[in-house]
This record gives sequence, C-alpha cells and structure tokens, in this order.
Amino acid sequence: MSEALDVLLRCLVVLGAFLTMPLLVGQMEHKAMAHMQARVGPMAAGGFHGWAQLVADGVKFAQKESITPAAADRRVFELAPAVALVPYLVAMVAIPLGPFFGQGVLIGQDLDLGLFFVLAAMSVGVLGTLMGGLGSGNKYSYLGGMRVAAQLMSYELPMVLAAASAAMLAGTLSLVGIADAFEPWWLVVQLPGLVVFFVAGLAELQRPPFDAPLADAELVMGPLTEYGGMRFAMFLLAEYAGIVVLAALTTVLFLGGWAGPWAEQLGWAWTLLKIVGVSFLVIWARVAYPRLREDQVNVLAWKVLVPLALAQVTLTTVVVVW
Amino acid sequence: MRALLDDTYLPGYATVGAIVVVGLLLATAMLGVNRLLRPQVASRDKRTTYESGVDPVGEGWAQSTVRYYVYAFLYVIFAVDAVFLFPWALVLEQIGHAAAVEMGVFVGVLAIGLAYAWRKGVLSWT
Amino acid sequence: MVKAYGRGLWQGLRVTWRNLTRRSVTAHYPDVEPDLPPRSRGVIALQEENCTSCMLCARECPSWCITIDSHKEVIPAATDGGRDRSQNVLDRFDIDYSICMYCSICIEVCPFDALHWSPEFAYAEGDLKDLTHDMNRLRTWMDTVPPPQALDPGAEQGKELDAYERTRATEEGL
Repeated sequence: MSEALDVLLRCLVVLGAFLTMPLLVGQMEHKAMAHMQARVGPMAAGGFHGWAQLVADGVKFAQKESITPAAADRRVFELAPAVALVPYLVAMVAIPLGPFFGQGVLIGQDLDLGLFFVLAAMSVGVLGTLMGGLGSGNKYSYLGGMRVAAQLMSYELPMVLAAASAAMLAGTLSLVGIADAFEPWWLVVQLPGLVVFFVAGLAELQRPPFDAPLADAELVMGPLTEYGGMRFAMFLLAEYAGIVVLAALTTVLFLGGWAGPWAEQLGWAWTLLKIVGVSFLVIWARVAYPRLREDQVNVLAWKVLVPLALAQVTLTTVVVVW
Repeated sequence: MRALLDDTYLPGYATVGAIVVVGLLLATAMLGVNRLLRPQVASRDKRTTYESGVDPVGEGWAQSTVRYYVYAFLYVIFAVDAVFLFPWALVLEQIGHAAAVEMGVFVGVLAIGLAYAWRKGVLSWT
Repeated sequence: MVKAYGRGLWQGLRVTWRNLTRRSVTAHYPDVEPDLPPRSRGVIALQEENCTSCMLCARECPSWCITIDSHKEVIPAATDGGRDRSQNVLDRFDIDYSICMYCSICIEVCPFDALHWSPEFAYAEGDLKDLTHDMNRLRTWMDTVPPPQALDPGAEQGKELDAYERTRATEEGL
C-alpha cells in the first residue's frame, strides 16, 4: 500500500512543480522583459508589483468561450492542446533536482534511460502544435503548421546529438548518473555541445528568435490562430513548461546539475538556481534578438548546428577513448 | 541487463505510468473547468475561419512546397543515426578505439550524405 | 574575425542588460500625478464677471464650439437726469469639449480676460452630452487655474503693468 502511496506522492509533487514553475518563469518573463524594454510590466494584479498576473490570466482563460471553427477537424482540433501539454509533464518525471539535505536525490522516477525518455517525451509534444496547425482548417494555421514541422524536425537533430555527447562522457543515460559524474573540465570540452543544445532547444520550443511559425506579424498566430480560451492557455502553459524542461535538461546535462558548495545538503537549491539562470537566458534571448526568417532558421539548423554537433560528438569520442 | 519481465524492472516505471494518467486527468480537468465556466452563445459568424477580419476566401488548404518533405527525409536518416548513437555512447568507454572508429565510419557516411545534399543546393532556399 | 561576426549578438545583449539594470522611465499615472509643464492646456475656465457677451470668442472659434446667450439689463441712472446704463448678463455660456480643438484662440481674443487655461485633463465622460460644459461647470474650473507664469529673466513686463505701477506710485506719493 505504501508503494502506491509513494507513487502517488511523487506524481503529485511533480504535478505541483509542473503547475508552479512555468508560472514563475512566466512572471519572470513579464517583469524581466519589461525592464529590459524600459517599462515596468504588470503592476496591478495582486497589489505588490503584479505578482498574481498569471493567476489572474488563468482565471480569465478558464471562463472564456471555446470556439471550434466549422472548417476544423473537430477531434484533432480539440485534442491538440492536451497532446501539446501532457508530454512536458511526463518529461518532468525523469528530471532530477538534486540531493535534499542528504536524503537522496529529489526526482520523480530515476529511469535508466532517463535522457532518452525525456527527449522522446519532448518530441511527442511537437505533435500537439502540428495537430493544431493542420486541424484548424485555416490557411494561416496550415502554413504555420508546415513551418513548425520543418523547424522542429530540423532542430531535433542537433539537440539529440549534443545530448548524446553528454551521455558519452558520463557513460550512462540516467540523468542522475550524468549529473553525478560531472567534472568541471567538462564545461570546456562540452562548450559547443552546450551552445548547440541550448539554441536547438530554443528552436524546439518555438521561442523567439525562432518563432517564425508563430510569427504574429505574418501569420496571426500560426498554428494557434483559431484557438481561444482554455485551449490557448494550455498551449501557452506548454510553452513555459517547455522552457522549464529545457532549462532543467541544460542544467543537468551540461552545467553539472547540483554541483556546487554543500552539494549534499543544498544540491536541489543549486539546480533550481541554475534552472532559473538558464530560463533568464531564454527570456533574454527573446528580448535581445529579432526573429529569424524561415529559411534562416533552417540554414542555421542544417549548415551550422548539425555540423557543430557532429564535431562535438567527434571531440567527445576522442576525449573518452583517449 | 535485466529481463523485461523481471520483477524489479517494470515496477520502476510505475511512476511514469501514473504521471501519464495524472497528465490526462489534468488536461481533462482543465477543459472540464472551462466547460463549466464558459458561456455558450452560438453564432454562425463565430465559426467562420479567421482571415484577419475579412471574409475567408477559398478552401482551408493551401499549396505547400516540396522542400518541407526534403527536410523530413533528411531528418529520418539522422534520426536513425541518433537511435544507434545512444546505446553506442553507453559502451564506448568499455570497448575503446574499435567502437570509436566504427561509429566514425557510420557518422562519416551520413555526413557525406549531408554534404551531398548541401552541395546539391537542397538546404538553401531560393 | 569572430568578433566581427558576433558583434550584433553581443550588442543586443548589452543594450538589453543596460536597460534592465536602470530604472524604467514609466510614469505610474493614477498613483503619481504627472509633472505637467507650465501653461499646459487642459480645460478652459470662465470668469463670468468679466464677460460682456461681446461674442468675440464664439465668432473666432474655428470649431464653433462656444454657445452664448445673454440679455441686456438696464441699470437705472445713478444721478438725477443721468443716462440709464445697460449691462449684458449671461444666460448661457457652453463650451462643447467634444468639438473644441484646444487651439487657444478664444482665450487670446477675449479683451476682458474672462477665459483662462487650466491644466486639468481628467474630465472624460461616459456620455457625449456630458462633454458640453455649462456656465457653472466652467466656473468651477477657475479654481484650478494656476497663477500666471513668472516672466523670463530680463523680460519686459506688459505695458498695462507699467501704467498700473505708475498710478500706484503716484497714489502712494500723495
């Protein structure tokens, strides 16, 4: 019985993290992006500097009407947000937080092929946006869906190759194992891999500067054009959950996870700190850079990131075998 | 290497199975709350396709170019490579030089394919 | 060579970081009153004691937003055999702010200083009809009219002030 209770408790904690961390990242985005643009961001919701803005947004979205266009493929259209959202929750199960006051590593479930599992779960999330794009019966959505497909497929590759190089150095696919095996000189050897993984991850999440599929000046909202209400909110939550998952993966694979002073007690805090730092970089990249054109996105993937990732794999092979 | 039906292997995935169920419940709950709270005012205009406020023209489908297909094709090739890369990455340290050379040959063949596609101009848009 | 390639990337990060670390320029309006420059034009105020219904403002207004009604009242002669005086009394003085374009011509042409600018700007209404301010409302705006702005250093004051000061000097001299 306690086995089932243990499983349930882990699920609830992961669910809690899934529902709060994206909102924290979202609020940080509101405020950080605002101050980078010399303005203040939300100030009214919740009284103190608008901390409750995203909560208010959630309540707003919950009571909005959901309209399914007549031309849309009904089942596909209605299921797409769920298909986009749930894989990120599933991916969060295998991502470790680090030692919690000597009690062992905080994690949903330490899987032997944790890395492979997380990457596969993220790939399923891609399907959600595709379903939304092609199922909306709208030319803009269709075009956006095609762009999404090309972009996400092109960037899966450098991401997977860079992640494989991290697995090579550690000799295991388990995320706990990779973070445990971290040594500081990895930062130097894996630097191209870190850059490739981060940039490819940004493109996987369709975050600016890679948001050509969602280009609001060109395609209204791309695959998300016809969505409103809670379905739209689920897509947005999926985007921010994706940022959290990407930041967590970058931290665990390339930045040493919970490495730092007092790692046995405060490892989880170090990981959280690094996740917040990487999320801040994601937000900073959004503000600092203009959107890449559709062909530039693909050129970057195939002509720059894939060769760079292959070079990183070669370098890591040499380092491991020597 | 544990057998698939070993007593200790599959139960390790209990949390994963549970989280998938929790995820589906979460999605259902979110959509359910929406259905309870939202107004439902039917209107024919609301269900027309959105085209920046003007009346929609033509079908919901548009013509697409073949270059998206080419990217999918290239992706499949390298994805198969990636699938073989992961197990190889685990045993690299134990096997040593032989494994390195072998994977080098494998990736080299694929890289030649990528270079060929590059030279053919497939990766550049007009 | 590499620096030349990544320069734009670096500049983007630098500019945004600098903005992040500096105080933002946003004015928090409802909580903080805005810092308006002197002689700001917000709303026109009427001092009806000065108004003689000469109709100059209504005639000169390019938008025809001023409506004036008045009647003559006779003031009996102060001395025996004297002439009766007449005085214009305002019945109605409306300014329609939905049409007014804040050009200031009415205030400039008024020979009797009956119209003044006030920096009040928060008089938005829910109904278009409420944007026509009648005589009483225009009187209340007089309370918000600031004193005249100080002259620039070294400027000459108006001739009427010179004449006034001369009169005061002669009176005090007496």
